[in-house]
Amino acid sequence: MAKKYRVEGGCQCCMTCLYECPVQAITIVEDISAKIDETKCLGCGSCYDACQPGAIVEYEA
Amino acid sequence: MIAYSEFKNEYAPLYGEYDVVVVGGGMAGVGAAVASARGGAKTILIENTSALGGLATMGIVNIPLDFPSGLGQELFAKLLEINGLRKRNSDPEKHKLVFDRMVKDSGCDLLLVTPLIDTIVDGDTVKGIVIHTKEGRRSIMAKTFIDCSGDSDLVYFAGGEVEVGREKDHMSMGCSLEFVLGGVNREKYMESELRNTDPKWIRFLSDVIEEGKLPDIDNHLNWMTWLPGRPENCGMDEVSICFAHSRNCFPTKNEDLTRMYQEGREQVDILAKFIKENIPGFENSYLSYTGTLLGVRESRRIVGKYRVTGMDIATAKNHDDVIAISYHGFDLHGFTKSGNMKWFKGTLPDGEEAYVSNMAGWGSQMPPDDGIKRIFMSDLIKTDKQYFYDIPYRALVHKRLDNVLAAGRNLSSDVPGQSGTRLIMCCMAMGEAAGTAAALALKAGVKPGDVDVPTLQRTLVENKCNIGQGYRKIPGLEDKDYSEYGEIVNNAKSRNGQEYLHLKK
Repeated sequence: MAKKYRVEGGCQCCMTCLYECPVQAITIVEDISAKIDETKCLGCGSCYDACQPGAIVEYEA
Repeated sequence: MIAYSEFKNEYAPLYGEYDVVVVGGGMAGVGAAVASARGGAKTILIENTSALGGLATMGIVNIPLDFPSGLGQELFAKLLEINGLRKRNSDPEKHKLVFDRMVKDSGCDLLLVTPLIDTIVDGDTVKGIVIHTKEGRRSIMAKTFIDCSGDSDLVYFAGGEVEVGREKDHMSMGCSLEFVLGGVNREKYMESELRNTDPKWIRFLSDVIEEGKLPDIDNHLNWMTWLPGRPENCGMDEVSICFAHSRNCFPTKNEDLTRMYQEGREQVDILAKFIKENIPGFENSYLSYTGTLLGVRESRRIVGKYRVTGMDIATAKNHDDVIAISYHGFDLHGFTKSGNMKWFKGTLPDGEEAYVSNMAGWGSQMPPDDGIKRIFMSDLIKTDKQYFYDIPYRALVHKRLDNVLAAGRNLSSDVPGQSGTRLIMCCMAMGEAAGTAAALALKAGVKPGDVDVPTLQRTLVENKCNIGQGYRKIPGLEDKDYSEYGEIVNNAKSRNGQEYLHLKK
């Protein structure tokens, strides 16, 4: 079990998380929502710290 | 423009003589003024409104996006100290205070509520400016001028070459009047089905506009964000919103600015009422205030020694004279109708025409269905590394006026190029670069356009700027290996200022 992050709801596609991610695990899907690749996610929380609409949540993978 | 040889002191008595004059106290202007003063140049900053920060404060665009430069990180750290920053949301009031203090502490002189009236020019050299004060016109003479007015007022008044809006009709893209609502129940909104299934209100707006319940101001909620340091989760939250837009904009005409401010306020009146009646969590909300400054995204840009273009962004072009980097990508807002366009029409390296999207997609207004190829930027630039593109120093140097730099949204660019370089923290980074360059050039006894670029870049890096040195070799910085800097930046737990200050480089 490892701590990871995912986009839950409320993403405004500001792209800040995309550029904060140290391993480029985030893409924006069709300008609707950011998506975090679970296999790449380190659980560092940089995206969570950056997300100002609060769309990113922590979970146990 | 007043010819230097004809200028008479009786017309505008001398206020002072300086090394550097910075016109415009927004993000770029503060960056330039502080960097110039700290670089040892006797500097004065002139600002039209009553506070510093430009659109980030007076315009209530409290989302300071993009790579923070050295001064940008300092802004974040100082905001954090007074509970004025959370993630990438700033408190406009605290931001004003931080900038007041930073400018004062740097030793830079400041005049607020002081418009620029005119310039005093000798051939290709600007000798001074004329300002309006409560005591009448005054002149300020200086060696170097940095135009951070957003609309290139200094350059334009000095007869310097500029370009306005898009090429075909000089119209600028949509301008937005931001507003703040108070009395918001944040928790209720966060839990609502609307926010979780349609966070940009695209489907919702499509329905209500079709039903005639709301005029077609926009086809999506551009952004809505919380003001940090204010009451939270108690039904008293404050949010800032970008949703009111003017189209068919000519923001370098005062009659059109007047139209847009009044139209913006009428739209906000409608939107505030509509939101209160229809959006969960906003049942007790009220209009707190509208922006003092209209969110003009693009207007008059200088003609510089290099013009940043859409294709530069689309191909993540690197420049030897990089002084700032950005990741934002195209962000154009409807010129004549609703929607935003995260794309532009360019010519690919192989000569073919294509609509190129930015990394996030196309935006809410798709390109025309005319058979021209559509290509994602992520297909054009295949990289597993951090994506960003360079802003070259030459885009800040006027092509003819030999002692004039520009920084901020008025850099030398085409419209799509400008759309990807005008973000708040990028403007501050450009300002820092311009101010640093101005001071260095004066010390070296050269014109600002002839400053030694590697020295400038080394100074910026030493001041904790990120010009991409951690990700690639920059000619002129080859004496040191900065690749570790890229790793440190990449692995910083949070980019909001604290971790950056621990970087020893």
